[in-house]
Formats: sequence, structure tokens, C-alpha cells
Amino acid sequence: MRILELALKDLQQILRDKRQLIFLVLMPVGFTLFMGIAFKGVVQKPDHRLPLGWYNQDVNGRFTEMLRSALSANPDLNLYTVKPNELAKARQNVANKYTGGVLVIPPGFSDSLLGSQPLQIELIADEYTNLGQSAYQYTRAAVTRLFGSLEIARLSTEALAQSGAALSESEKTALLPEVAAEAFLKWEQIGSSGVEIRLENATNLPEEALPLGGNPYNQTSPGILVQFTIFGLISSSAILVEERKTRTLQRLFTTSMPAGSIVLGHLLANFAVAFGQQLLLVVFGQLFLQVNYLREPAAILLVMIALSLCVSSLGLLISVLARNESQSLLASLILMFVISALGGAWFPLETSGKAFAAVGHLTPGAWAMDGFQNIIIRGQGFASVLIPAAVLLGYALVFFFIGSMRFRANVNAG
Amino acid sequence: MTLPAIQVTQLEKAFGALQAVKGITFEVAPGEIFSLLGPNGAGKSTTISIISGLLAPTAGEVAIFGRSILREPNAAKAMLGVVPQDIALYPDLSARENLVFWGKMYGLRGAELKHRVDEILAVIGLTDRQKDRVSTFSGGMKRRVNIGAALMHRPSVVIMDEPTVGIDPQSRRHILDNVKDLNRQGMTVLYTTHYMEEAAELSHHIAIMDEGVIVACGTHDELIRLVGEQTRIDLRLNAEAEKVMAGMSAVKGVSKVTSLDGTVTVLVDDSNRVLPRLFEVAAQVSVRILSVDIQEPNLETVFLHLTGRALRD
Ligand SMILES: Nc1ncnc2c1ncn2[C@@H]1O[C@H](COP(=O)(O)OP(=O)(O)O)[C@@H](O)[C@H]1O
Ligand SMILES: [Mg+2]
Repeated sequence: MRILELALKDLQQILRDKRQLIFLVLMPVGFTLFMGIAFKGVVQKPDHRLPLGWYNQDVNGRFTEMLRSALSANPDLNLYTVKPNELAKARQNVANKYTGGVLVIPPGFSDSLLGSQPLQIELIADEYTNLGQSAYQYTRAAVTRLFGSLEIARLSTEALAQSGAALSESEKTALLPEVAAEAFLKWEQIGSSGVEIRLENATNLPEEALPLGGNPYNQTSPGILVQFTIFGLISSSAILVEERKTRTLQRLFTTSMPAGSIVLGHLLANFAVAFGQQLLLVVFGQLFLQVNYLREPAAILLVMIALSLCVSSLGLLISVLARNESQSLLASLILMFVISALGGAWFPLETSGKAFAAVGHLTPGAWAMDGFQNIIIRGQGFASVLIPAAVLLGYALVFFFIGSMRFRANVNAG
Repeated sequence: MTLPAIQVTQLEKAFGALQAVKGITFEVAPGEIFSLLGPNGAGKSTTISIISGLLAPTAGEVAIFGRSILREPNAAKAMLGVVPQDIALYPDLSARENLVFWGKMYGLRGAELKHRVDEILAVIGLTDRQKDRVSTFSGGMKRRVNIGAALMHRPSVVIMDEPTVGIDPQSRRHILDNVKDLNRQGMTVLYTTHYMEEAAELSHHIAIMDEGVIVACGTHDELIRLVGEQTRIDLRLNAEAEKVMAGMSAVKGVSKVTSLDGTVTVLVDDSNRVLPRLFEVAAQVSVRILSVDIQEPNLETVFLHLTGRALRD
């Protein structure tokens, strides 16, 4: 009971200062949102298609339209329209390798195909680069298909005429595009029904495995939560340092309250601050940022409790080792930065290399992040947080043990 | 046979090489005010800290009504109210909040706690300032709250470590009266001070402490009798004391000569007989005596007699 009263007194002192609310609530919420914006880019699926400019001077040309549809249907191409006034810029993009090439369709291209002097398509590309080569290959495939269809149509109408059908020259000319379009279509159907070569891109991830589960807050919400839970050390360790300075701690030891209860009372207050702050941020993340903490509520709760115990006993240790408030402030700040940066609170450890991740896992921060992200990103079950929680509790025990050993010695020395 | 309220046996405490308390023994009877009188650094606070269970002794034993502070600390501490030498309060909490908190730490609850807080506020005379933060209080007011907090659980024994250091005369008077009131209500008080007037006014028994040792212990009158029928003479000179000290020590009837800040203090058995001799000694070395103050023996005299030094620093 007295443990609880002692903890309540600590909380009263911590929360009396309204500025604490800025640090405990407003700052973490602000940082979560801010960092979320920074991570937006990471979660978007990268576009690996080859950009190819489409500069068309043969508006409404029938065969031109067929060519365009063939190119757009190619999943490996990103065909974009180049407006007349943008040609110079498009050329520049080719030179800068931003784009594979620009296809220039001359005026009257479609009509010329029906005559004896077909006009030529121009591909502006750098043939010495992979980009230029790919642009050329893709274009060639589409053009081949178009010309092939046209040739088939020509041969078919020729055959039709020879088989005795009474076809005037003008009727033949009218029929040609129809048949060519038919053949062009058939070509596509052959491609999708017959023998097919499927190419699998080794680096392409399935849809579910988008970075961070497709939500930037899956990184920043737990990350900032871990960071600011540690930040809370500043206020909770200061209480005990001040208690020693005002000699109220010594006075506590003259009451009949057992030494263990005094330690536990202070620890409980630290725990309540850490846990309360996490609870707020978890609820905020769940409600407003679509971070799915509640997918496995029991697992998240376990990680929160383990992290709170770890941080609160670290606070105890700091306050026992620090000689004065500025030392405890400095220690809390340094720990916050080190644990957050190394522990993957600011950026995912997966993206930072094996060695870095291994070093990061020396800090409790990395284990807390693992615990949270196993649930919210990796979609794993309750069992997946057992190891992270166990490691956090291990840290808590070590911190608590050293802290409470030094606690008593400290009172006497003071 | 009644148990002593506090029994201290062969108590020793060393801080590294420094022997702060050197094997002291004394007993405080239930219902009395017992003072530890001694100059700064005598070892009073160290002794008090051990009795309150805050410090572990190097050797020796302390019992509160028969309960060892070492082996049954919580039972012993429950009977104690400790007023530390330094203010030990939460400056950012109000007087009332402080008393409520300490009441809770002593195990009080609910209506009883509230009633006791009101009572204590009245005793220490701070009822109308109870809502103000302790940080806004004067030194004397803080001292009074500091005492009040130790009384919350109506302890049978109150230990006060120099509760009147550095405060205004009014607060000091208030505190001394509080101590006497508490004692009249039956509380045993262990009081430490380096002001001999306080020890003289309050105590039933006084232990004089110096350099970790109790040099004398008894009632006020018993202690005075230690210096016999001696009278103390303070002489102010127009020259350095050193010039006359040897000569005065040689005068028959003089038992001790010391000097402090240009004043020579001489202990004599018969001032009427010795005083003219002292003037002669001064005249021989051409020193003029500017003033003479003859005092009946007091605790200051006793300390001087026993240690050869003045009580005040
Ligand atoms: N924690 C400590 N560490 C080292 N020396 C101490 C400590 N506390 C007191 N002392 C020394 O012990 C001696 C007695 O001190 P103290 O008990 O405070 O005397 P008093 O209360 O009579 O003024 C002094 O010389 C003091 O410097
Ligand atoms: Mg002292």
C-alpha cells in the first residue's frame, strides 16, 4: 500500500509540471507524424519499367493507334506522351538516361503504309546504352507485329482475289486495314494462349511484402514510441536524484517502510510513466495511423510491459549512479539517442546491413522494435514476441539488480 | 523494570580512516528529554543516523524500547520519529501535502490521517499557510514542517538533530516550546544541539560529546558540579592574549586559561582572591585589561573544563 502511495507522490511531482505533457505526449505525436512523411517514399513500390516517349505527329492514324496500343500493353514499358513543345526536353532526357528513348511518328504515317513508300518511324535513343538497346528491342517487337499483320493482310486479300472473288482495287484497299487489324489482334491472342515464356523477376517482391507493410507509420509509430519512452527517463530519474538531494530519501529510510518497498515504489512510478506514455501512443497509432497494434493485443501488451520494466529499471540505475540532476539528464539523453539510433527506432534495421543490425540488437531498443514489428508488419503471432520480451525483461533484471544494490549504499553515502 | 527508550551500547562508526564515533554508551529513559551537546563535528549527527537506522554502525548496538535497530529495524523504526538536521521535505509540494505524504509513509490512512494533519498544522502554527509550497517558506517555517512530519504517527520517541540551527528567534522559541509540550504529553525526546542554553533549558539529562566521545553525562546540575566551585572570568585585553596566558596559568587558584578572539577566559576557584593577581600579571607585561566579566559556572564552563576548548566554533 505504501509502495503505491510513494509511486503516486512521484507521479504527482512528475505531472505537476505541465511542460512534461509536451514531452510525454505532444512531442512524440508530432515526431511520429513528421517522420511518417519522411518514410512515405520508402513504402511506395519502385517503378522498374522503361520509360519511352511517344511523340505522335500522325493524329488519328489507324496503324499508329495499333502501334501505340501494342507498346502500352507491354508491362515492361512506361509509354508516356511527349507533347510537340516537349521534344527538345525529351531528347535531353534521353541524353541524361532518364528515359529509354523517344519514338517519333511522322505525319501521315498510317496512310503511307497502304502505299508503296511507307514512311519511317524514328527512335531517338542512345544505342550504346542498355536503355537504348531495350528501347530499340521493345519498339522493334511492336513494329514487327504491325508490319507483319499488314503483310498478312496484303497476302490474304491477294489470295482472296486469286481465288476468284471479284474485288475491285478500291475494295481491296478498303479491306486491307480491316484484315490487318484482325491479324494484329490474333497475334496478341497467340501470345497469351500458346507457348509462353514467363520471366520471373528475382528482385520483385510479392504485393504483401511492400516495405514496412505499406504504411510508413509501421516504422515511425513504434520507433518514436520507443524513443520517447526512453526520453521519459529524464523526468523519472530526476525524481529520485532530487529525492536524494532534498534528503527526503534518507527520511524515507527512517520510517518503518522496508528498503525494498522504497525501491519498488519509485520503480512503480517510473513504470507507470513509461507504460502510460506507450499506451497513449499505441492508441494514437491504432486509431489515426492505421498501425495495427490490436491485431495481437496480448502480444503488444507483453512487449509494452517488458519495455516499460526495462526502461523504468534503467531509470532507477541512472538515478542511482548520477550524482546530480545534470548528470541524470545527460545520461538519459545520451541513452535515448544511442538506443533509438542503434535500435532501429529511426530507420528499420533491415535496411542498414547485417553488422549494424547485430550491434543494434545489443540495445533493448532493437528488441522492442522487433517485438512491435513482428506483429504490425510481419504479421506473426503471439509466439514471435516471446524472445524480444524475454530479452527486454533480462535487461530489466540486470538494471534493477545493479540499481537496487547501489541504491542502499547511495543513501548512506549521501 | 522498565526498558530504556533508547539504549546505546559501545557504539562506533568509522568513515574510512576517520573515527567519527568512538565507542559511546548512554541510555535515554522513557519520558525524558535527553540532549547530546557538542560542537560541530563532535559526531552527534552520525550517532543520530545510526540510532534512526539510516547508517550501519562499525560496532556496537542500539535498541529502541528493547528492539534492536539492526536486527528488527522496522519494529524499532515504527516507534521513532526522526527530525533530520537538514530540511527533508518536498519543496514543490505544499505543507499539507508534505504532512499527508509522510503520514502515509508512517502508515496513517483516511480520516485519522486528515485529523492528524490538522492537529500537527496547529501544533507547528502553520494552519493558515498549509496550502503554500514549502519552497516559499522561511527557514524557520520549513524547520517547523520538518518537525511536524516526524510527529505524524505519534511516535513514542522523537529524535531531533539540531532543529534550531540558522533560524529566527521567534521560530526558535516556537520549536523549543513544542519540544517541551511534546515531552509533557509523554514523548521521549533525544535532542542534539551545540547551543548550551537549549540543552540547559530543555533537558533532564545531557551528554556532552566531543570528537566522537561522550566526555560527561548527567543532569544539568551534576555536570555543573564537575567544575566544582569554579567561576569563569572573561578578560578583554589591549594586547595579544599570549602575552599573559603563561603568567596567569601560574597564579594559585587558576585551573585553566584559554583564549578566543582576544578574550582570555580563566577558570578560578575564588574570584575575589584571584582577580587582583590577574591584574598584577597583566601589569607586569604592560598589558591593560579593558573589561572583566565574571560568570557563574554553566555548561560552557563545563565543556571548557573538560576539553580545554570553547564549545562554540
Ligand atoms: N558520510 C560521511 N563520510 C565521511 N565523513 C563523515 C560523514 N558524515 C560525517 N563525517 C565526519 O564525521 C565527523 C562527525 O560528523 P557529524 O556526526 O556530522 O558531527 P556533528 O553532527 O556533531 O556536527 C565529522 O568529522 C564529519 O566530517
Ligand atoms: Mg550534525
